[in-house]
Amino acid sequence: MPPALIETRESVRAKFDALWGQVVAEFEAKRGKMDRLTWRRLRTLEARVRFHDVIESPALSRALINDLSSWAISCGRDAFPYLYRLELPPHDMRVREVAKAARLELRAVFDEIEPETAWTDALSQEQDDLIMKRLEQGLNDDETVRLEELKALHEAHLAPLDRQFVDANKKHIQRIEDLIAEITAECATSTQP
Amino acid sequence: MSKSVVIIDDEHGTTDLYVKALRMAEFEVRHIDNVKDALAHFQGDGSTPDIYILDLMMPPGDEIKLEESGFGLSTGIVLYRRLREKHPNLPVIILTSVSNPEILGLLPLDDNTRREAKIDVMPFELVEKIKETLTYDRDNAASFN
Repeated sequence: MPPALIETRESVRAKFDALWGQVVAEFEAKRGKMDRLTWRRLRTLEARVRFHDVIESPALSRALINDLSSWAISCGRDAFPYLYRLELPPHDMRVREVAKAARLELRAVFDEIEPETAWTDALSQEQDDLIMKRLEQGLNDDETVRLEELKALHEAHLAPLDRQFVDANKKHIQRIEDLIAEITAECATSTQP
Repeated sequence: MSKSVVIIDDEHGTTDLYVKALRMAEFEVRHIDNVKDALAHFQGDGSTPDIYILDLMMPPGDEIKLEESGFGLSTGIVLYRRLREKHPNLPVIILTSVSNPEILGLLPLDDNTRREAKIDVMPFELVEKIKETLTYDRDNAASFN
């Protein structure tokens, strides 16, 4: 079953709030320590909440917002500035069709490059523990060497993914530009007397 | 005497975790969340910190033109230039989610500025990077990267 394409601000906000409460409690109990995967989850949810904050403008119809948000969430924060420029007249069916087509096209692009990091929990945790220890009490020579090894492994794993992200962002931004132009043209046509 | 940090970032949420971690490490921290207050701070509304943490993607407000800010994508670059006019050598960490090289290429980095990706810098790591940066600047010690 494909993932749900429609997400409301309320649903993503509820997920963020639930994780936030858990993170803050642990953060304070462990004097600032937290694990990397939780951090990434928290930041992703936060970006999605902010995305809804940005696009929920009275100038956009609710239906169109849902269509746009379902794919633009995938763009991450690089999409936000482009969405500032969306000041569309009330939505009609033709606009909706354009948005739907673009959404499906973009969804296909993102399904290909879904960022999965194979960096394992155990290695990530070991690196975090060593960084925390270095901050609090310093490391011995063996630990310093091990931390550098872990950082190099981490970098070797993440660097190719970063390049994919950069390429994907470029593609996305171009598609968003095209979509905005197309929707704007449709709106101009649909509002003519 | 504790060191002071100014964080300029429109986000709260995870930024609040950075603030908490820095305060746990006994830094004095001020969080500025909009362009208007940031520009006022550069002009002397508040004491100069030991280091700035600066976001790039922020709403430009009424103080910076939308086009100049790259429609919000590079607001922090405009702020960075204004900051450098006032404080040419103060340490700055650009802490951003922006990965687009065309945008990052607009950033005129210097020896007292480093850039970090938010997704990879957890709160306790920011504490460590700030300590490294301030130690590096003070003693001109070995590179911190």
